Amino acid sequence: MSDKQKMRKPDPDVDLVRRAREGDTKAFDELVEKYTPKLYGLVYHMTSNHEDTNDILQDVFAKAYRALKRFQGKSAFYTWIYSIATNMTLNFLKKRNRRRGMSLDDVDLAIERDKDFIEATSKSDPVKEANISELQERLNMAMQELSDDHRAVVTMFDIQGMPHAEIAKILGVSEGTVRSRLFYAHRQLQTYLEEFRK
Amino acid sequence: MNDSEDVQRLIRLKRYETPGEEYFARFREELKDHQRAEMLKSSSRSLVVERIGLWLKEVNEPRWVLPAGATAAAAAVAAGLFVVVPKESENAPASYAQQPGVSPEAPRHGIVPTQYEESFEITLPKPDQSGRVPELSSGSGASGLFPVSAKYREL
Repeated sequence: MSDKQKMRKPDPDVDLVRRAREGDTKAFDELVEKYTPKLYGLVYHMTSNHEDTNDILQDVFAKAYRALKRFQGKSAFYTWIYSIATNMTLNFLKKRNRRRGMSLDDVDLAIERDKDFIEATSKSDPVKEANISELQERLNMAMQELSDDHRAVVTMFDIQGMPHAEIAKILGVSEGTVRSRLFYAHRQLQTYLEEFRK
Repeated sequence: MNDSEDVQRLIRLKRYETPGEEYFARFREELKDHQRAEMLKSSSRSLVVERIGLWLKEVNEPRWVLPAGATAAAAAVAAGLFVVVPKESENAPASYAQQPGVSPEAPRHGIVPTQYEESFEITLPKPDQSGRVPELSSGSGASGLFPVSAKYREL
C-alpha cells in the first residue's frame, strides 16, 4: 500500500455509494438523508435565502444521482458531492449577481426565532440578548459584503468547521489560496462586526 | 482573544441557522417526486426514440426504396420547373406592350419573335442609260424611301 493510500481515510460511504450505483434507491436515499443538513448549511450560508437553497439542493441531488455512475471513487463521496454543491451555488450566485444586486429583502430573517441561536447568543453574553435581531442582520450583511469565493471559504471553515485541506480539494485550489482567502475575508468582516466583538 | 478569533466566534453563530427536521423530511419527499417525474420523462423520451427508430427501420426496407425515390425525384423535377419558368407578362413594362406591332405578351429582352416582325418590300428602279433614275410609280408606296440626293437632282 502506498503512503498516499495509507494517509487517505477510508470513505465511510463506500458501501452506500456502491449499492446506489447498482440501482439501490434506498441506498441513495440514505446518502440524501445523511448529507442534506450539511449541504443545506453550505448552500444557505452562501445564498442567504431559503427558497434558493431549497431549489439548488434539489438540483444538486438530481445531478448527483445522474452522475453517480461516473463517480470513480478517486475522492470521498463527501468531497465529490460538496464540489457539486459548491460549483452549482457559485454558478447560481454569478447569475443572480448579473440579474440584480442582492438586496436585504432577499436575506432571510428567520434566525431571530431560532431557539438554538438565541440560547447560544444569550449564553455568550446576556447584554447582547436584546440585540439578537441586529446581530443577525449585521452578520448576514457582513457575509453578503464578501465576494462569492471568500464567502464560500468562510462558510466551509468558520461555520461548518472543515479543514483547509478539504476546502482546497472541494474548490480545486491550493491550501495557500484557502488560507489567503480566509485572511482577507476575516479582515473585511472585522470592520462590519466591530461593535459585536467586545 | 485576538480580533480574528472574535470574528470567527461571531460568524460561527450562523451554524445555528438551520431549519427543523420537518423541513428535511419534506425536502426528501420533494426530491423523490422530482426523481419519479424525471424517470417518467426519460422513459417517455426513450419510447419516442424507440418508435422513431422502428419507423426508420421500416422506411429503409427495400420495398419502400423505389416508390419513395420516384416520389422524391418527381417532387424535385416539379419544384425545378416551378422555379425555372418565369412569368414574363407580369414583369413586362406597359410602354413595351404599347409599341406598334408588338404584342403585350412579347418578351422584354429586345428579341422579338418572328410573328411580331413588320416587313416592307422596297423596290428601287434601275437608272437608265443617261444615269437618271426614273420616277417611282405612284403606286409603289415607297417614295419616302427613295434616296434624298437623287430626288434633289431631279428638282
